[in-house]
Amino acid sequence: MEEGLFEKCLELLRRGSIAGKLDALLFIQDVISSENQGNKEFLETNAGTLLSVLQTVLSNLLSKPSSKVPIKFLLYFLDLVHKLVTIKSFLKVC
Amino acid sequence: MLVQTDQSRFESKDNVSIIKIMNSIILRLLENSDPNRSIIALFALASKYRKSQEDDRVLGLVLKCILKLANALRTLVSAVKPDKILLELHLFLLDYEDDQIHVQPNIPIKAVKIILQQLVNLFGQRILQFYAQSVQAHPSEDKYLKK
Repeated sequence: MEEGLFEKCLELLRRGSIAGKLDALLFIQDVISSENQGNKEFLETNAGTLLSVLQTVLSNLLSKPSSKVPIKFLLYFLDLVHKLVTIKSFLKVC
Repeated sequence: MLVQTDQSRFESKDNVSIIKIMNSIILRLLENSDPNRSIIALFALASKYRKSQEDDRVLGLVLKCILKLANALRTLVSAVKPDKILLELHLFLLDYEDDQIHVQPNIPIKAVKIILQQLVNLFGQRILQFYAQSVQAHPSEDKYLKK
């Protein structure tokens, strides 16, 4: 995984549109599902940063009035976070 | 987060899915994270919400997480650092006035007792060494833990 791609992904999560954020989540999803050892190590090395950005996204989503929360996106987002927190090695390095 | 989602904000089907997945995330976090950091974070939250009295449900949820973690400590024993946890409990109790400690029912104090009991079960007499390294070395005197 390239550092530049990951940075772009974080930027989309921080400041992107919903479509941009969704692209970033899909990208992270691919990395999680990947069997590539390099990707796994990259994810672990950057776990703290990624969790911090995901926390910001969640806070922003839940601080909106319910009518403005994109539910499908929220569910997809939570599903991804759930996958991440089931990875023991990911949480151990945070 | 659980409280924010637990307010029927969304359509009931979505609401159920969101609460379910949030619960599962919290459980995985408690299971897979460093237990010392989790306990420190949870007691910091308990301290904050005990004082604010804005929403008892938040405090209730935090305490449920503490109890869940206390029950899991046996399986996480190799990662448990009793000195750090004892110091956190000491700092938590420092926030209490003498008369508040004995108010009943006192769920935060019960949570402290349960964590302490688990630590004693896990570490036996050695707990006193950890106590000396952390709580006794702290500038503020301990009035409750050693009792």
